[in-house]
Amino acid sequence: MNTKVQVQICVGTACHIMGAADLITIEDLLAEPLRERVEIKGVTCIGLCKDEVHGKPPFVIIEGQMLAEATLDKVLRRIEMCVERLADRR
Amino acid sequence: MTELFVDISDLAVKKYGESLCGDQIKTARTEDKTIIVLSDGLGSGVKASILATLTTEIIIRMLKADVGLADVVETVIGTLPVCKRRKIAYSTFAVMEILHRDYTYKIVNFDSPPAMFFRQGRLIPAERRTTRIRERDISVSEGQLEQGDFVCLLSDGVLHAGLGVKMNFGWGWDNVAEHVELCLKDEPKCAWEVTHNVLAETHALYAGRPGDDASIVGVLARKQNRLTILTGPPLDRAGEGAIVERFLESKGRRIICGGTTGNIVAEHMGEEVQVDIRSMTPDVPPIGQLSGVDLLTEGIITMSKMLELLQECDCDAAALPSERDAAILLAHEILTADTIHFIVGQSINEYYQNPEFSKHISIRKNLIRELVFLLNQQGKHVTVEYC
Ligand code: FES
Repeated sequence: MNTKVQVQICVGTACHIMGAADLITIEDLLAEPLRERVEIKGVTCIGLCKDEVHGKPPFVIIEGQMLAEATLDKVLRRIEMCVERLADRR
Repeated sequence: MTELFVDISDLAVKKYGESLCGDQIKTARTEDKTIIVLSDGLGSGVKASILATLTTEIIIRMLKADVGLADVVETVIGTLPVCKRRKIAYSTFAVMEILHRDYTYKIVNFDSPPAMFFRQGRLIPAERRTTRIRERDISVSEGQLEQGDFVCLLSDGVLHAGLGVKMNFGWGWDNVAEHVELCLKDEPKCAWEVTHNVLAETHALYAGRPGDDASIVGVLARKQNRLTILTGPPLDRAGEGAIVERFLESKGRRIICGGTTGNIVAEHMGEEVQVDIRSMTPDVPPIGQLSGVDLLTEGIITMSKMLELLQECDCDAAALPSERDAAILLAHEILTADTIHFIVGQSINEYYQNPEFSKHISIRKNLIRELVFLLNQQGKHVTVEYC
């Protein structure tokens, strides 16, 4: 089982323009103990931008859950939540 | 047979003090052949320029219309006015025609300095035969281009460089040929390196004040660099597979511009695109990786940025920024290619129509159109297919 929190940041056209470039810096913002427990990956357009039902880009998927209109703050909070949950489970 | 690319560079300097150049050069590429014409109008200035322009225009047009070279020459010589006093035609010319089928060529000289032919960097004495057309001597040489061959057409202004300034008799055919051999020692990557060098020397020998119009055409036969760019998802989803196959089997380098397009290709190969987020910059989305594909980038933003880069650096690869983001790498690939084929999918992402978004990006089709125009000007052979 993967013990790291999986973060996929969409870096497609729509997400890039709407702020994905900023989101990529998240790794630098994570505090030391947190950083080791998170795996960050870039992915090409995941198709969520194609209709409006999923909300607005940029999109980030954290542990399989979609986050629309992602901001550094939102992503950070969600990561912290997931890390805690993962720790509880163990 | 190695696939060759006929790289042509033409340069001219005008006589000091004149506002127009009396030498005119024109080149044309059709599906089957490449045509080069250099014409030198008698004297200099406006009159010479008009005569030379007429001569090149007539020759190019007729050859493009597939009139045989002999007939073209006959027509032009028959049409050209002749100076009554000096009994010479008002303009001279050299024509080179290269067939793409087997790279055989023919060079015709009418009162112009003989063309120079170099193989493996050495001057080869060309076998010339003289034929008479309308009582004028025409020299013809023929052969077949091989990789690395270099051919030089020039006007007598180059041969006369230095006359009365630095030399008694001017630079002269043999010395120019020797100079070209020297340039070829460095194995130039493009014809421009040689023509630029020769014309700079010409200018220097005239001490910066050319006594005549001087022009040169360099023809370098080199290995053809092919590139195929797939960008945008096709309209017809059912036809996707065939397009992907064709793309993956294309000769030369292969590039995908577009994340969704990349995903489509990856899916067909049963793979996944790997994104290298470290290559991302605030302006340009990151580079992706996929086997069999030489470069994978995001679509619209990266291509717009690349077009901007090409315009800024005037299509000179050496002037591109030294960083290595997706747009810069794409610009390098495009500048290295001689023949570029675009496969443009026309499926449009609905979201791009969104007003808060559309101000940021241009339409793929317009972008390609602008890019093709620019690349054609650079002498690249560009084809586009929409799907
Ligand atoms: S670009 Fe991110 S979902 Fe399409």
